[in-house]
Amino acid sequence: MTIPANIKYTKDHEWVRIDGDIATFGISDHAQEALGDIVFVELPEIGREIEAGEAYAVVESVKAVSDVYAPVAGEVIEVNDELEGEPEKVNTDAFGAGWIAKVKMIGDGSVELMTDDEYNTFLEE
Amino acid sequence: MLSYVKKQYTTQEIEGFITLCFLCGDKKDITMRFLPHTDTDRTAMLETMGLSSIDGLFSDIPDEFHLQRGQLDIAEALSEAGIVRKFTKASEKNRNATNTRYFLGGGTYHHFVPAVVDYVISRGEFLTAYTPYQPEIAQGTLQALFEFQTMIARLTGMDVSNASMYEAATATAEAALMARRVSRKNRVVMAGSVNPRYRSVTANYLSRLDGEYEEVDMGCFGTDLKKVIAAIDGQTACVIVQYPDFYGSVYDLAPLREACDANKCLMIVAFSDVSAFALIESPGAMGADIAVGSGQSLGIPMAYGGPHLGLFTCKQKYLRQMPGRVCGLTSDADGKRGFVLTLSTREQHIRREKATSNICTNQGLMCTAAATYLTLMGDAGLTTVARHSAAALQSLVSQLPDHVAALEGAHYNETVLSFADHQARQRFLTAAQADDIFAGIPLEQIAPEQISPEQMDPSAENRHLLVATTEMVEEADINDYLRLLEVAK
Repeated sequence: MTIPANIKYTKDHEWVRIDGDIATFGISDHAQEALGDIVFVELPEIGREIEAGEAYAVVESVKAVSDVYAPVAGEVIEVNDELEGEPEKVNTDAFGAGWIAKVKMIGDGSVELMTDDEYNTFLEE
Repeated sequence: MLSYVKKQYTTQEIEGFITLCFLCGDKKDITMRFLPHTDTDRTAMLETMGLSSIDGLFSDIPDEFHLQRGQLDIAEALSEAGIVRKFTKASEKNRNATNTRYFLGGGTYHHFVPAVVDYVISRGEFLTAYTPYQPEIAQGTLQALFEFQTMIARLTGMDVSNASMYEAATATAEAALMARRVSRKNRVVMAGSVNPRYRSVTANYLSRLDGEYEEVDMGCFGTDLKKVIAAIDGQTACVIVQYPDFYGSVYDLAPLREACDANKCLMIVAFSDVSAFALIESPGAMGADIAVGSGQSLGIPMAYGGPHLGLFTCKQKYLRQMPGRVCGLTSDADGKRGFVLTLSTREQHIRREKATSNICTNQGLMCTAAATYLTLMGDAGLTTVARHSAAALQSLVSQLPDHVAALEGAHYNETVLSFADHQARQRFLTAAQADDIFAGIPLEQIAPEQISPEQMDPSAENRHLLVATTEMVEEADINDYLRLLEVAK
């Protein structure tokens, strides 16, 4: 499994890519593999303000339903509508086409974030 | 214990058995073959406990409280035939919807139940199976649920229906909880013209949760939605109205829909007699986000208020937040059509504490009854039921004598009759009772807070009757009703 170096990870296996004041959220490749075939992603509403650590989306697989937590605080400005019809994109491309939401960051609220190396070590533990 | 019965017993023996049950320390020497313990067993048990007789078990209870044999003054035992005769005679004194003229509603309605409905649901496959939801063995039940959902969604004009709730009041409460999840807001506004039972159960559900619950006083039988609209703000998750309302009034909900849109809150429409929507605009057509209510009108007897049937429907986009079971259509490995429970990930056995609801079951037999009824009646049949129900009320209201007033505005099959004062109403009720007519529900018995807007004049209180009609009300019944109104004037 490849873990991109330019993004950060949470202990709950979410990822965040920060670009200026815009942050893109998703779940890690490890998370999608553990969940199995994903059949539905409940997306947040545009304009919703979420705090770091708040559940902002729900990912439903054939095995389980899981809340997805926000790595950093922000206002939702874009969601990946394509997941409504093709939730399996989270399985096939968790770090790319399987992104879930983009937020405009508000303040510096953040959960504990890991680099790719730290996340790799975390996964091995 | 009765499973041990191997032979017919004499009444003396049965009396002895009953006596033994009441007076454990029995002194009469009879053999109780239907009790598994032998005398040897009992002696062994008593010895272990260090007692000489069963009486010893009760020695802590003062003698004066021991019931001695012969102390009970009860009649001689009757034979089975004697029991049937006695109770048949007693039951003939009961006055009920089938041997009177019946004008009661208030949430439960006396519609005709065709014999086919009972026949179908009495089949062992439907009646005796417990949670028969494994698709491998329960295609019949699952298909019945699927058809039920389709029919209810069409009748209410909504996108989707679940496989039913227990009854209307909890369905209403669950709708409020669902709206809170969907909107992520926690203020609930309830119109005062919603059935008091639905309001009370909803208030009870919400009383243990954060968030405001506001009941809007609509005044005496008021239909002015402006009061409800005024109570909506940006924090409001949903507003709940009943349509037709508890007093039978039918009015356009479009202004409310607009207000809900402006405040991003959900419009929940509750209903008591779903047969109405064969005749008037459906909740879906009125723009409801969630529509909930009673399905008792669809082939289910009134039966002391239960078991009834709760209906729960919503817009497609809220499906994932809908509580309860949902049955879906799928295809198996061979491509053959099959029915399964679906979207179970919303439910407790998968989502645990994050499930959409505590309700993880449905009213399976009753929705099978409703599906059977609707299949039998069809569009045309149900419309006929609705037309007759509404026409009976029209007939009654249009012929009322001057001293009795019905509510103004449009009504389906229910309205309020108002008398000059309490005495006038009671005279009529007494006369009606004597003539085997259930004439209406004295409103103060179920909606005490709605009765006297004036409050200053005590005689103005307790003078209203909630009156409902169905296709079971015949012209002769209405004529009798009108005649008694004149007689008891």
